[in-house]
Amino acid sequence: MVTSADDEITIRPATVADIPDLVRLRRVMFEAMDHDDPVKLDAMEEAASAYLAGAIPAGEFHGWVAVTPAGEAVSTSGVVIDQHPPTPANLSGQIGYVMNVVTAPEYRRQGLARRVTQAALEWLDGRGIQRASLHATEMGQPLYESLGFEPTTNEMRLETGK
Amino acid sequence: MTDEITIRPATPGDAGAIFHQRRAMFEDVFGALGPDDAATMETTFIPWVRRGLTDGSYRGWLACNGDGHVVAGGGLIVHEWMASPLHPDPRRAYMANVYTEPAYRRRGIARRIVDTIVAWCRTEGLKVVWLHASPFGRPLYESLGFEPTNEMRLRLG
Repeated sequence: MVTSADDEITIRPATVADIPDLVRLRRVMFEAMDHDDPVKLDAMEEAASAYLAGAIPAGEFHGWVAVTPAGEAVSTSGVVIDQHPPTPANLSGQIGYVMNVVTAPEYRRQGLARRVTQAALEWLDGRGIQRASLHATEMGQPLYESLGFEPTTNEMRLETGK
Repeated sequence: MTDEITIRPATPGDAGAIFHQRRAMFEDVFGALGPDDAATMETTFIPWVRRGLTDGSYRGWLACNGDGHVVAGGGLIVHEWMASPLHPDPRRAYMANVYTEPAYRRRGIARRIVDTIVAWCRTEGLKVVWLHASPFGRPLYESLGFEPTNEMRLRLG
C-alpha cells in the first residue's frame, strides 16, 4: 500500500467491491472523450460491470484505486495482459494493456493519475512483463510521455460493421 | 508452379511454416535476426503457436499454390476487452503474421488472406479488428478501411 503524506490519499488494488466506482469513473472518462449518449453510456456501465464481476476474481483484470481518508474512490487505473505471438524483442509475447485511467474532476492536478498508473506499471514490471501499451486521450498524453511511453505509428484499426 | 492459389485454415501441423513466415516478416522489416535471436524465437514461438492452433486461441489461414506449397498466410488472436460506449462486446480481434513469399507478391494474395480473416471476424460477430502494420502492409490495410490509432507504448524492465 502506497500512502502520501501530502493528501492522505491511498492507492490500493481494486476488488469486486470497487466495481461501482470503477464503472462510475469509466463513464466520466468516456464523457471526457465526448461520448454523450446516455443510453450507450448506461449500456457500457452494465456491460463493464458484468465483465469486471468475472474478470477481477479470475485475475484477468487488475485495477487500482486512489481512495480518500473518507473512503471515496477518486482515481482508478487498470491492466489486462494481452497474449500476442512472441517477437524477437519480447519473447513472452505478453503486453500489459493499461486502461481505465481516470480521476474525478475535483481531484485532478494532484498527481493521482500518475500514482495509479505507476502502481499498474510497477505491478507489470514485478510480473516480468516487458511491454505496456495504451490508448491516450489528449488529456492523458503528457502524463504517459513523462512516464516514458512513446507514440506508435503503426497500429491500425478496422470497425467491421462500417 | 501453378497460379491457382487456395486458402485453407492452418492446423497444428503448420506451426513450422507459420514460424518461417513470422521470422521472414520480421526480417523484411528489421533486417536479418542474429542466430541466437532466431533460435530463441523458434523455440518460443513454435510451441506457442502449435498450442494456440490446437486450443483455438490462435487461428491461422494459409494460401497454397497448386502443388500444395504454402506461399502466404495470416493469423488472428481474440482478446477480452472492457466494454466501451461504442462496443459493449468485450472482444477485440488482433491480426498478425500476414506474410507473402517474395515470388508470390503483387498478386493480391495478402489481400485475399486479410479478406478471409475479416470475413471470419464478421461471421463471429467481432466488431473491431486491429493490427500493427509494416510499411509494406500499410497501403493494403488502408485500402481495406483500417485507420491509424492513438496508441502509445512503454518498454518495461
